[in-house]
Amino acid sequence: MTPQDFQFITNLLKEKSGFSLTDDQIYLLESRLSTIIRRNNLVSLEDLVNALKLDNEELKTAVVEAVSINNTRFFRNKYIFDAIRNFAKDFDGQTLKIMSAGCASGQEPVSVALLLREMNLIAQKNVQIYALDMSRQIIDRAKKGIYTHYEVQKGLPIRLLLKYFTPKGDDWALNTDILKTIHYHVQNILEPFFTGNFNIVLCRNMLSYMTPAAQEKALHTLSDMMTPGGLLIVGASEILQKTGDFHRFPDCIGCYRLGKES
Amino acid sequence: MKTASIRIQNPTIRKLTHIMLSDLGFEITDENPSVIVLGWSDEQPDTLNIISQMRQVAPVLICSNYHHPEKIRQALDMGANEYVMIPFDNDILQSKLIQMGLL
Repeated sequence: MTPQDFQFITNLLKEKSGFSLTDDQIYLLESRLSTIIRRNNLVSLEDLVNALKLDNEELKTAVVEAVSINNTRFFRNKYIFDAIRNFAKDFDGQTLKIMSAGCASGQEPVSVALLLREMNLIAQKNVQIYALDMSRQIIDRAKKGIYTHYEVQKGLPIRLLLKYFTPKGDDWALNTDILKTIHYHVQNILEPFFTGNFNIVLCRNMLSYMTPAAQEKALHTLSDMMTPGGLLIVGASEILQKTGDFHRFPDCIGCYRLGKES
Repeated sequence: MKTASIRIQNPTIRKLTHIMLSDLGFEITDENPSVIVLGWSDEQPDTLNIISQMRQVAPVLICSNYHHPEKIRQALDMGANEYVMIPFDNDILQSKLIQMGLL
């Protein structure tokens, strides 16, 4: 791949999703774009770049989606779920609204739903979980709530698998009473979207891939949608440049609260 | 150092499990293990009867090609701590051990 081709794709990503790739992430492009290259009967990355230059919008969308999809597992980073449990335990409102931004195939919002169900909160409160991703393909998949033999074994305790999933051929289907608590949407968080009083927002391993300008814009959009004191959770290794109205939450890596000095 | 005892009769699965556990930093030994990985299959049918005895030594991870919920429930009812369905990979084994508090 020539530096010009790499530049072309990184510009495309920046423009469409706010994601910025550094030179050492070229491997990421190669591994994630290989499926698209194969599916479109192309031979190489150069081929793909040439096809993209013909303004093929569908292909552009496919490329942006492929690069921005998170690898995900159930209950990824246990301490995050401890933080959510503590927040939810002390939460005295009636409606608890949670957002999982960049939810990919849904392991994160499903984990949150299972956690709250196990705490018995889903029965006591009006729990609403919104899960967003900009890939239509992956949202369509997540909506089905079907996970492979491999996926259900990554991070999901066997007791929860037995309790909330049913075998379906070689796969496992999430029971509908859990699935229906999650509202999946195709949505890019750089674009304005629904308003509204979110108490917890998970936005992991997304902001730090953005340009500083896109990151600031995304944080601003998120703060507009959250209630004061709301909990924002970013990835453990993410360092945010300008956090605006968000303040670090003591003793919890990657946790911020809106409008409350710690 | 973390230690694991592997009690799997099928030679291929035993060997693979050995490699994966070593990669995850476990020393494979039957002396004072921090976890026992116990096979369960048609060729190793007595597993359910020995789980409680094994539990007195260390937490038990069942490794089985039985995927049916009823089978899994039987193993848990007999005291198994976690359960991994064959086939599995490094990532899966690691996540099971994390859940068991061993990593």
